Amino acid sequence: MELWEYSAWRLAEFVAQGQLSVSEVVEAHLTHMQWQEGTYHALITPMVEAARDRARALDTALAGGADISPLCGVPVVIKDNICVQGSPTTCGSRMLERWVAPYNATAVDHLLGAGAVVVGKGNMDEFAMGSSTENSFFGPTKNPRDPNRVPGGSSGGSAAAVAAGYAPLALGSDTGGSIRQPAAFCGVHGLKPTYGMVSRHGLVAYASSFDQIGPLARDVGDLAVALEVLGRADDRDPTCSSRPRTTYLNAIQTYSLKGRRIGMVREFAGSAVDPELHAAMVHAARICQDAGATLVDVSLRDTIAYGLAAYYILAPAEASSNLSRFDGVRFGFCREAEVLQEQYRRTRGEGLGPEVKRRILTGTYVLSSGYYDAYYATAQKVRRRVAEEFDVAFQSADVVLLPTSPRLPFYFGEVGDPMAMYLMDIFTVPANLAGLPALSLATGSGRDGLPLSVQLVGRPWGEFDLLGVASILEKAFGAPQPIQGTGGKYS
Amino acid sequence: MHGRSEPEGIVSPEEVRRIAALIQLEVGDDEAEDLGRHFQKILGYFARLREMDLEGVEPFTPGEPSIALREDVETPWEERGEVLDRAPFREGDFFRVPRMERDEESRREGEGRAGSGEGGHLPPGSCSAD
Repeated sequence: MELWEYSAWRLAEFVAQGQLSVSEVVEAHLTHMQWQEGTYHALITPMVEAARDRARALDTALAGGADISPLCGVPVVIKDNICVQGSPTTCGSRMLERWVAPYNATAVDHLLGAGAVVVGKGNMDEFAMGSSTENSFFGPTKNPRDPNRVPGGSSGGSAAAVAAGYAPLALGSDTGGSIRQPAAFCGVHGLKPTYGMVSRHGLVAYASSFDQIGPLARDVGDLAVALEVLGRADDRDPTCSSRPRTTYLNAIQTYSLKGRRIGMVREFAGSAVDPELHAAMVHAARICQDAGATLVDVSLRDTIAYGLAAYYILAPAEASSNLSRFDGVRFGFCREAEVLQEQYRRTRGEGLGPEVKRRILTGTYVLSSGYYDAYYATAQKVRRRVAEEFDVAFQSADVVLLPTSPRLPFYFGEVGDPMAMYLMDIFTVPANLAGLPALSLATGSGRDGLPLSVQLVGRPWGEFDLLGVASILEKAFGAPQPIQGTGGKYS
Repeated sequence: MHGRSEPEGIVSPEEVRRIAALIQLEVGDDEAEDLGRHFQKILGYFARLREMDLEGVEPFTPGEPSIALREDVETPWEERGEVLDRAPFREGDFFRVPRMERDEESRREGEGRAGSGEGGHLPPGSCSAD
């Protein structure tokens, strides 16, 4: 077994026991990464020298008796909308092409404090708007499971990097599915925590009442460790909760499904789900049942019928406000003009890509005078309805089972219509609307070796149940493996 | 439900430009056509929300019921110069910008553009980084 095939917690264990140096771990991943990056383009900025320097510094500290845990020596990829001090943070946009972050995001500080080593910044759809990473100004990422297909999005680079073995762990951000859907497409796991679990300080905001940072990995235990590291109060993000967090890694080892209830959603009529993804869900339910869980029928009727429409009103509305800061004055790209307002218009017209323009214009439209009640205010009420439907579902179920995506990974250019692309998010946006934790679990491969997946949605602060159920399912389905090399098969 | 009189779903390139002007966004002719078509499609999709009975339903935002506020104290931030350095045009402790459009120019050049009068009363020059 090669070093880049191990899980994060196992690598950290090797380092802690003195069996491997950080430099050995990091070098093995960098070699593997450099060999493959030309094919997949998972990164906007590889950080090879910075990673080597950091590895040496950690080895020196360890030699001096420092106790660094629980991710000591673990290579990580950070989505390029999360600030890493001294590195470009482009958000996949021409607007921030040359912008270098002056500070670390809190989530990055937590990872570094735990001993992680950043090896690169992950490619993404511009400002996290997209479901295929085709909207990156720097060109798309290819799916390591099949390079003719998209890796999903918007955290497509983070997902591809984990699938290709650049790192066992990556950070993404999830506003409407941007961690879970690319995880599903690339055959890895991804966790969107409860709204308020992880600080967003240093995350470039897209839609602030939805955005949440979370981990992608090939091992459920790694998601658990990462959540322990990331989930801490932070007064620099006022929405980050100060409630005490629990520990996850040890607890999930002994998790039992006996007496637990898994919610099976009644309404799939009319929502076309790929038969293999539907079968994966049924398979997962059977595994849970065999392990002692009870399957219960739950209804998410309005959520599935109306949630997506509400999301595509509310998130663009928030984006139209958040992205007003990109004006060519304080940071990023600037197209000079003689008059300030003209400079704003040209800078934004040239610096922002088509999908970003679509969304901020949609957001401005739904907030504009005369339309506010019909769209924005209505969508806020639909959001309440979604949250209430989940409340009812969680009275009879501990975890709700859904597909992550209605479709398997598609080919580049195959989904050209923006509205058709939005429909890919139908099963991921509900968790963001209601602020719930949700986990996409890789469940093996289907036709043409394409990755299959299921999604688990939990109660607010119910990550323990999500990780517990996921760990049991992972034992049955087998943990996903990184690809061996260019064009490698899912194993 | 709508306060305006346009036939539903029809979003003209002029309407797209009017909205773009609200957020200081330059939109080319082809772009405006495309965006108009996109708007028609997505507004058509949003129309389904009218099927719902939302009488008496309160708006929802996730998160803790109350946000913990920080003490209102000054926190010196040492990287201030680094942030200024990242501006396209810096002048001392200021971001440098060109002169601003005046009210009358704004009205003349951006006919039908909303948000006119913005900044018209301010003198040209720099704006403070603070």
